[in-house]
Amino acid sequence: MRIRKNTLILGLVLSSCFTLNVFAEPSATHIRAVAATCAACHGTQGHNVKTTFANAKAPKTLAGIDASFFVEQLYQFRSGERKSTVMERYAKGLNDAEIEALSVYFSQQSAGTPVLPKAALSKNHQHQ
Amino acid sequence: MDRRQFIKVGTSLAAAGVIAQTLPGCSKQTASKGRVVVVGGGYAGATVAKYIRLWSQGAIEVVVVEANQQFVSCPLSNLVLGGTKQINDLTFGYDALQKNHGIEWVTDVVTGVDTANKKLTLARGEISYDRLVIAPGIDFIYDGLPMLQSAEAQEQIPHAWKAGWQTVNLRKQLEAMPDGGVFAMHIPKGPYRCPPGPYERAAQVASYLKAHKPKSKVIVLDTNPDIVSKKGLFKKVFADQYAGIIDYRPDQAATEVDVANKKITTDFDDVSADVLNVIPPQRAGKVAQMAGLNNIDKRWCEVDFLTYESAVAKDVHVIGDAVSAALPKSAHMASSQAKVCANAIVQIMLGQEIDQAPLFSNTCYSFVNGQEAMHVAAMYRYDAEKKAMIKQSGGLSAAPNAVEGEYAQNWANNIWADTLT
Repeated sequence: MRIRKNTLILGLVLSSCFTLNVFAEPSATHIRAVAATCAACHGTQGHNVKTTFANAKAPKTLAGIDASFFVEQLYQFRSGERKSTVMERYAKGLNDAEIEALSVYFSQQSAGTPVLPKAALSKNHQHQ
Repeated sequence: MDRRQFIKVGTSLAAAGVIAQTLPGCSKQTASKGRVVVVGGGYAGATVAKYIRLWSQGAIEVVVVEANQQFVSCPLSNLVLGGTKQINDLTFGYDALQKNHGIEWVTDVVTGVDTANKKLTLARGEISYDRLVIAPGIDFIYDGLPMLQSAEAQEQIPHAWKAGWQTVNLRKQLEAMPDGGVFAMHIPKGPYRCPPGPYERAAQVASYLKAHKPKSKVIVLDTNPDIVSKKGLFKKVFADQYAGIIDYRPDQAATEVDVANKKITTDFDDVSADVLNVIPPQRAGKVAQMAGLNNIDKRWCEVDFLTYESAVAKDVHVIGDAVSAALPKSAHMASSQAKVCANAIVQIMLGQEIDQAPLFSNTCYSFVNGQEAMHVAAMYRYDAEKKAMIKQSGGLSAAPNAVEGEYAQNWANNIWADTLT
């Protein structure tokens, strides 16, 4: 597993598409905030709401994901090898060390599904 | 804690000049590292409250002051006008957020902000803070069109630019409009909340009229010289899907509105409409103005993008649409800023190092009919030299499509859950 990931990283560096100062270990507090930016589509700490899909491929649940699978997919999104709508935009903004650290972060999250707190609009709701 | 008791505690603390963590009974936490008060329970305010609690593991006390009892999403609210969503599909309670994270919640209106003495005045009491986060959203500027300021005028001509009853009103007016009628809308000069939103609205209204009242017209009067966001995509949608319905007119600064007759006058045109929607120009929300934080053009709030601390008031942070930035004013951006702000506040209050290279995403989906959507998405990273968030990567859809319509709904479901649970 470890060898495959390193090979991938080496390949990417050799292809010189990306900045080289990417191997500094990002702090845990940096990574929790980067992971939180994924939450808009993938849920808090990777706990996503179940949405119905008839046309689209459902986004992967990130909580508990296999770390090496995550890294491989992000590299494929980044290179365009795996076709996507928005994921290519995000993957290209992440450096290698962040992708590695995010894979560990999400792989360590336990499962969970949030329930939306639906309500009816009250009479006195004001927005002037 | 009961709200009255809570405010009494806050008042006595402020009067005695005692900070919150030294007294028992102020919080469920026994080892509080201080109190953060958040003003506003929208995408920015609710998110910052949640993530401060999460990342401080409950060590920081968080109080939210919000005037409304419910959250109504602006994203997807144009679909209420198109007829594929109801307002209650976009309406949520705050109970889960409060319970799940131990957030103190005060339903009240802020009437004064005293940043020198670190306290807020509410309609029914006072509350002190160690750090204040102001997430006030937008306020409308009526200087140019004062006739639209009253509640009565807005019954006739709703802006519907904050989702709620005005959205419902505008939909009802569209339902009552005869086939062959005119829907006219006016778009203010940027920056305003949700850059692609007005064009999405034009498409949604046109989508409804095309199906139900096909002789009708949508006249879009834009103050801006061209479509502000997703220009090529919207132009193609208007031409391909709504030819003969949408009439887009740029450079149309409004000079006069006749409220009773629903007539709008611009530099170039007079347009009489059956249904008229005027979106006024905008600035930082009222509480930011109250605190004197809107130092950029008297409209927007300058902040440090590492912490979102105001450039003019110490220990006061501003997030969301009120911030002055060369970034789109979107729900996703508000959520992203809230997380960087929460991270920095936790780091400061727990004595940790502040992240020097925050990174975040922004996504704006626009629905062009009931099923198809298109995106603009980007990642931004802090640049220490420019002291700003700089785009790292990004792009647009090739064309609107049904796959992205489902991803847009998935985005909404998950950002709602992220904000409110």
